[in-house]
Amino acid sequence: MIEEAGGVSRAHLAFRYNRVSTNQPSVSLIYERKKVCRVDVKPQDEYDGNPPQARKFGLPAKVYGTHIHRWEHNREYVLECLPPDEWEIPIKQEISQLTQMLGHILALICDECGIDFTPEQRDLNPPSREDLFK
Amino acid sequence: MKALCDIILASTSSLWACKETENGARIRTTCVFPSFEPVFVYVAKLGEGFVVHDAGETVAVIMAHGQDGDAAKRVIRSECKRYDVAFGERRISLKIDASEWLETAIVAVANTAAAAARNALKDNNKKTERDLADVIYEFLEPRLAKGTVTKGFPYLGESGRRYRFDLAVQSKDHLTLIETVTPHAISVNSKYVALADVPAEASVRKIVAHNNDLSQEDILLLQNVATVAGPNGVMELVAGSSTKH
Repeated sequence: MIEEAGGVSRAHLAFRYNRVSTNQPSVSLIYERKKVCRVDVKPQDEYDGNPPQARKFGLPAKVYGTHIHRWEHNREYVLECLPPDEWEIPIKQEISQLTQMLGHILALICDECGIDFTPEQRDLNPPSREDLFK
Repeated sequence: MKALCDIILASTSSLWACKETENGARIRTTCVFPSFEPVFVYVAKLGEGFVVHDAGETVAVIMAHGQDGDAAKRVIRSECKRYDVAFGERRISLKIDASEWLETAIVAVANTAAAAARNALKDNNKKTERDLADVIYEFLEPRLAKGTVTKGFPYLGESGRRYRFDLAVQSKDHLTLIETVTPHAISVNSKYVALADVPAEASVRKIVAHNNDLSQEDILLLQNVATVAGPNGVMELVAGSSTKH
């Protein structure tokens, strides 16, 4: 969490976990209630489509496997292509399929967003799946 | 016994059906217009690449709903940015260099067509709001200092939501935000929310303009967040305090 001086929460992480496809978690950084970065873990034989605006970054139409929604790719889309009351970051880029652990994903998001996240902080131990919903 | 996927594929085989026509290969997509008619898109070869288009059917569909051609074009243009598609005189289209982008282009053109037709149904209210905003703008613009009056003024609300106010009048010390409202729930509610999200500061004045056709309940509601006036009242309020020097 990013805390302002007054203790007001300005940013947080959001996790999406599909109970059917349990091997496909998604982690988003939400800043002032707006998603600014997202990493989706997916099997390498599944793809998500990119909108046409992805062409200007040399990104493919179909992105296979684990990928990231970078703010630098989506900034213009949010500010120029969407109406003022909408916000979405649909442009995505494939990343290493080895990005599976929560610590790796958070490090990637922090690196994208200029947040200090030292190697000593990366040893995260989430509860086991069977303990998650007890 | 047939597998569930086999049953589904057999009964939905007409989706994505492709047929060669003089406009190019016609594809029936899974998008629909408000009348639940399918959106068809056409694919034609263009050099090494392709052009994917709607053959002008979206304009025709919107006009069949009672909108004029200009309104249809305005709604379509506003929807084209979302998926980077172009709009000429009648056609929504997207050019691509390689077949890799065909699926994306077909989905982009079909969704733009369906969304534009759906938005056109809502646009009658907006048209009346815009007409009133135009009348007030035409009155104020020559009477105030150049560049003082702005249409579609962007404003960041206290909540962080972004709004576009119909009109704004800016002076050195004051900002006047004007929203035009029609006697429909969508119009009243959306404008109420926008005005309520503007912090109550002495330097910002909020005005609701209406065509003297709002109900007493709507006027009382909107008075919680702004000064409510008919067109003449708005002109007096603004021009009276900010006349050109």
